[in-house]
Amino acid sequence: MPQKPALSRPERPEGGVPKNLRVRIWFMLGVFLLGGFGTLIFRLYSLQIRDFETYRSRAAAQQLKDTSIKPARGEIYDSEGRVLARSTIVWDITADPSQFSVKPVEGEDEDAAGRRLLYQIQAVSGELAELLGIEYNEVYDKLSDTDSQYKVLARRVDKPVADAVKEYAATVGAPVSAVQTTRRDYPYGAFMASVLGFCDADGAGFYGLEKYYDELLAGTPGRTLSLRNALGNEVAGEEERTYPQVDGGRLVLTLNVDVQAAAEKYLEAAIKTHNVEQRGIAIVMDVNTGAVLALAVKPDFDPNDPYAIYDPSLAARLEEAESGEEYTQLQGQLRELQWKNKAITDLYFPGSVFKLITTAAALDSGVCAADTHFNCSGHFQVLDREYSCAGTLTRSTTAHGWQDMALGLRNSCNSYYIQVGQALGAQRFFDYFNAFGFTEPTGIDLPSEQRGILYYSAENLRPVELASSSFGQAQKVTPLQMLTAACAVVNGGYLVQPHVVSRIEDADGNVMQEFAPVVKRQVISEEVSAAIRGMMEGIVDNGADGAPGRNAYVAGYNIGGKSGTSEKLDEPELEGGGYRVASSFLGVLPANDPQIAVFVILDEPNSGENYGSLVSAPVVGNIISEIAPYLGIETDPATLVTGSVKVPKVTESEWSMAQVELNKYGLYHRLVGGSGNVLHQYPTAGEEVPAGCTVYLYTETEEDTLTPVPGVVGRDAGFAVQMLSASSLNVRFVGPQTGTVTAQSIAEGAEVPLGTVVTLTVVDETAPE
Amino acid sequence: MAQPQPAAVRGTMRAKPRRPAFFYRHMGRVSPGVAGTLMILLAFGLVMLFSASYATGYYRFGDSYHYILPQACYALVGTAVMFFVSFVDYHWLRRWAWALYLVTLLLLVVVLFMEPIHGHRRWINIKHLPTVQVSEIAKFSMILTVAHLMDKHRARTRSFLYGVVMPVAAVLPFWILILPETHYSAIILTICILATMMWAGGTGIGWFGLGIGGLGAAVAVVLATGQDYVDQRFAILRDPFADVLGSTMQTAQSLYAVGSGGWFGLGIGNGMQKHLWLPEATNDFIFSILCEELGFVGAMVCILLFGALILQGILIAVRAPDRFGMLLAVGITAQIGWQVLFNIAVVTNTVPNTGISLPFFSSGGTSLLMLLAQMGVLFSVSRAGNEYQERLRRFAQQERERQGQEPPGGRPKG
Repeated sequence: MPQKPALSRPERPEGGVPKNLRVRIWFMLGVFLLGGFGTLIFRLYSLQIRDFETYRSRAAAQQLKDTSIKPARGEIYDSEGRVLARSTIVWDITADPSQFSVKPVEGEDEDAAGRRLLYQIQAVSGELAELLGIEYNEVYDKLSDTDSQYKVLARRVDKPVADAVKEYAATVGAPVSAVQTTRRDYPYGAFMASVLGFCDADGAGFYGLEKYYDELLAGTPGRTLSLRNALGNEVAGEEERTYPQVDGGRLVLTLNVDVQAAAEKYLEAAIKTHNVEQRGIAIVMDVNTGAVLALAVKPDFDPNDPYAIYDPSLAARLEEAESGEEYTQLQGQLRELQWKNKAITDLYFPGSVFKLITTAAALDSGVCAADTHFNCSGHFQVLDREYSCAGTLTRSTTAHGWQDMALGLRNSCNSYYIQVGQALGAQRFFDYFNAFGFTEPTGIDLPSEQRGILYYSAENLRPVELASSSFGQAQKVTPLQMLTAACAVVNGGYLVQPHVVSRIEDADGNVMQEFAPVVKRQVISEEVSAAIRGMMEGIVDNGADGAPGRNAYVAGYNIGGKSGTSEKLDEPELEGGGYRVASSFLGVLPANDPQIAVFVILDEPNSGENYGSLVSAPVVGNIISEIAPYLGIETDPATLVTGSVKVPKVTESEWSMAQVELNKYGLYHRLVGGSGNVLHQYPTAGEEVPAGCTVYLYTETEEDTLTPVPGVVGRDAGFAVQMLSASSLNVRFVGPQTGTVTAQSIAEGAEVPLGTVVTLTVVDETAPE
Repeated sequence: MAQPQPAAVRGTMRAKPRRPAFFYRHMGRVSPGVAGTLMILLAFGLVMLFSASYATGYYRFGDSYHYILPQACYALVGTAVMFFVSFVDYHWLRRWAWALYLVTLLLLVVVLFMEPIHGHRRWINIKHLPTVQVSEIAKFSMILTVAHLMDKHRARTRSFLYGVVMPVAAVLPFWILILPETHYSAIILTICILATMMWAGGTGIGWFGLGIGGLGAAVAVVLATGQDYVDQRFAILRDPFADVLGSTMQTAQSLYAVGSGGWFGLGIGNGMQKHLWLPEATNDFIFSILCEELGFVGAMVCILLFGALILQGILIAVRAPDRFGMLLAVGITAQIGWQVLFNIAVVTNTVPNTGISLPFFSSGGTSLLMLLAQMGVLFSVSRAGNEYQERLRRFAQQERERQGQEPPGGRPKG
């Protein structure tokens, strides 16, 4: 084709990419995108869409921080609202020794770095030991274990210590932290311990009320769900969900700190005086409601430090242990022993106190009447078994002769009661035994109540067993069962369920539950109950000489009682003959319309004469002397001592008996010094003092302790009495007992012996002339 | 922009200058598509890096901006460098190909005597200077050298000697020197890039069959000789949850992150795995955080953007005015493509764990700077290509005018 001259043929630009390569490149791109990216997209689909749930939940499992919020454990109060147990916020000091490190220094070899690390740990250990008040070695041993990630250096330290440790750790960069936790405090120490119990190291109830009401006291933990980073710390700014905790409820007890204190004081003194080997029990109970006002088991433990052996003599025994194994074993036994609430876990032969039950059964069933007479010849033969009368234990005379029921009970005559038992017969005896609740737990709201109760059923009560049972030497019961049954005998016949908690409140103090008295059943008639009350009154007999229960007498109160000295027939006989005994005494008052029962058992006393009437009755009397006025128990006008009293001579007698003597005169007593014989008394014997005065008994010195007399002129009479008694002085009034004090017989500031009677002249301006 | 050139001037163009000028005298524009895609990716990468790094920065250095601030600065400087480089005639680079090659060899030797970082001697590590990973330089040096050689001998690339032996021999010293670094991922990556360039450069297809066979044999040998390092990696691939607290921790945590994303993710910034759970969340595993926070949809957007970039890179290659430009563009695009492919394959546990970063996303200032500079080279090829295509278009128009005797509209289309 000819070319046009107008337009020259343009040259095709050189270069470019040949078509075959372009095809290659596009092919390659296609393979890459479809094959490569296609695979990636499929993988992402599998991971993100198909298996989303799996990965999401796995990721959440590691990212979610589920923090439990500890609820505050509820307090325990006595009947007057005094705190017996409470929880405080404290801190555990922990360390992560693996995180100790030193900054590397140039040109330093490994050994030198190791030494510097060691110096650092030593320095930190020294400082921490001082802050925490513990041994340096203890801290150093833990911190130098740098393979460990968790060591507890100290438990439950208070805020100032925790703050100091935190500050120190932050300053030097030590891997030590303070973790918040709670501590259970028992402000009264070794007091009411077997009722309160204690909490274990994790703060869970382990014994006593702490265990029985653990769920209530513990509350319900709350939770916080938050997100955390790989170090376990919460990620700031992320929303978190919180489910609040429910703090634990509070217990308000029927027990009263003052009543308990009196019971523990006298029980402890008696245990010491009589060298009691198997602990002692004192229980004060409201006979009509079953409310326990005091429940003392001694020796016990300090719930603030329950693992330490509290009783010095037991602790000394532990120290004597020879091998480590022996030590550990003995330590375990002693701990178990001191924790046990003997009143509900131990079984014992109730002995003569049980005769109240036999009496009740005989009278209520109509088998016997109050005037049914049986003869006692000092011995009684049942089949091949010969019984000697309990009376022969106390007296050289061998026979009680013919007795009616009141006398039989007062003499505690075994022969008489064997015959009563025979009159009842096995079936009837067992029916009453059963009805009085001896075949079931009492149902008290405390843990570990003895359930494997040993008794003879009606079929097994053959003549010998029946005979022994009738005076309480065949069937084993718990002390609380005995007391509950005795309460039924005196309260009109009603078997009540004993209890220690009067109400439950929530953490804010709102009442959640009130415990009304639970009457299980009426066992005997009102009339029989009244008759037995009369017999029991005769046993104490207003402290008359020769009355078996005289030592429990407190002037002004109508007290009934029954003693028991049960032989441990199931244990080996003693070398000198006879058996170990449990000495008990039950007191009830007022005897005509009982309100409270006081029951004391000393298990295996080691005095010359271990009779309940001699070792336990004084404890009952002394407890009554303090708690009866405190509780406002009705006084008996016939025996109430008023006006002036001539102080009896109580020196040279054993202190508890001295106190018993003063109880009979309507005088109070205060011991100066430890237990032992009284060396000196003030006011002295023969002095005329107003009734209700306190006599000070000295067991360690014959010297009076002096006290300055406070000035009370111009004060209200009632207030003056309080001031003087706070100064351990007695008061006598001239003129009316209310009004304003116009004169005091001993000048203010004078140093006089404790117990000195200060005479106050009082004018009552309001009184009509 | 250049005015329409008179024919006479075009004539002078034909006689190529022996020594190309530093800047273009005549050039087209950078394809707006590729520039836009890159800018979007760069911005996306910075946002993602900030989200992924603020927690690590805060925990490790007490500064949430510890990673993002330098990265943003490098991105700004890098963008400037990129546009500067795009004005440089890529033929000029050719003069310096062997010089760069020798410098790279020297640096690869020097790096073996450097203070190690994380137990590896891979970086030029001089105090008070930013660290530079030499293998990054080696990759570009390799692309440049191979492009040069395969263009120079373009007529003979089908032969074994020039198609296979020559390019492999050129890169072999690099591999030999990288081996003691135990930087296997760099070797794998360079092999992939080299193969791509050889494919695009016209190496006989038969040799690829041989190559794949040889590679397979090599892999079999490595697996059979059972190097612990390799063995362990494959064990993780099989069961990523076997040892979550130890050797499989990184992979397992990555899968937790990816799998937690679902369709739309937890939302940008809301991811949990970056709170020290996932190691290297700011670096090799940043895509896991992207998946966790933006979900499957976000991951798709990211992959599509990379796909678009690669597609446009290849478009630049096929439109290049010469084979050297084409090979440069293929090499640079292949580098991006293979890194994206390997990185995402690693975080999804599709291939064993190797340390390959995600371009424009992973933290690392000098690396980003070099990447952007290479994008500048790609843009430079784009300019030349567009100018060349313009010339082709004009030629085609003139041809039509000539054949139709009369110019149809009198004016060429703008």
